[in-house]
Amino acid sequence: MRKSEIVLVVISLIISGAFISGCATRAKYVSPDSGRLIVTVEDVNIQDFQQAADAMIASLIKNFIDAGRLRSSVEGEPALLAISRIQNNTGQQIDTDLLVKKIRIALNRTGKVLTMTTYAYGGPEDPLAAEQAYISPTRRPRPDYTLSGKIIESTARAGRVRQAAYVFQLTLSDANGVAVWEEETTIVKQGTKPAIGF
Amino acid sequence: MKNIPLLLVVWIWVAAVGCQTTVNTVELAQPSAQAQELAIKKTQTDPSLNQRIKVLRVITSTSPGGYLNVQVDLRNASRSLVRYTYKVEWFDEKGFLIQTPAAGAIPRQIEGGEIQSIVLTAPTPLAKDFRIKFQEPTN
Repeated sequence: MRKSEIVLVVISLIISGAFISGCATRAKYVSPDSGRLIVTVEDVNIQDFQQAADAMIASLIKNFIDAGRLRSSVEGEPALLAISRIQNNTGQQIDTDLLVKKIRIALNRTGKVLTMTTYAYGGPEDPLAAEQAYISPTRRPRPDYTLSGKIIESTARAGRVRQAAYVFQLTLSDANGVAVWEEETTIVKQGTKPAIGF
Repeated sequence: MKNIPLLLVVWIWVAAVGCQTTVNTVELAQPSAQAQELAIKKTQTDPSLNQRIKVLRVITSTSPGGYLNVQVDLRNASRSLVRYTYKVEWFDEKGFLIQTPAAGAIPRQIEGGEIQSIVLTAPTPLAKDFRIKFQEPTN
């Protein structure tokens, strides 16, 4: 092998190595509010919860709070909200707090609604706070409103194209059990099934 | 045989146009709604998206409760469907960004020739200003 050929082989190896390492998958941080998050048809992705929560918060503010329909049982104080059952009717394991927590935060920041952590469907969210509230000599507050809902999945397929619709339904009920605000947001995703693959 | 390239071009054109559907719109010539239209400042970095999606107008109103409502009217100037995402940022009266729990890029699609409205409600009465970003989805 001549010297020039050896140099050529070494350069080729370096370039190939650079390409191979350049193509290797590397972990990276992605901003959770960016449009570069992974989208899958068969899952409720994190941005789907964001999108649904965003629509719910906007509706709740516009059609209920800003419309002057929010009432507190104690004059001049924020209304109290308790979280009731949020039913997961999808085939997936979903933590519904991915939806509900965003709504709670947004309501909390309006200064007009506070969420109870001692009174919720399935038991208190904060058992210690519930114990404290139980032994407290002051009145034990009751919620002015309860939030309940459902997440529903509907799928369809035509050839290789798959479609999944995720329907987010929320209802705000007052202390008399009357639905005073209701909203539904649907997120539909389509994708093709790989011809070969797992 | 001479006409084969010409036929091929025609076939490709028919196939391409056949896939496109555009939207016909009917509305009042003199709308009765009195909108407060705002002057907008645009920073364009994606000429392709900017050519296809045109911002027709931005209108705002403040509710009695002090919440800022914004509507952005868009038109797809092309003949084909365009997918895009938009993201809204809200600012207080001093220009500081208001952090919101659900702020993310919202995916939308607009058919060829369609006029579409994006309606936004500020998450808090503290929001006095806004910024909307449009981007083509990366996936």
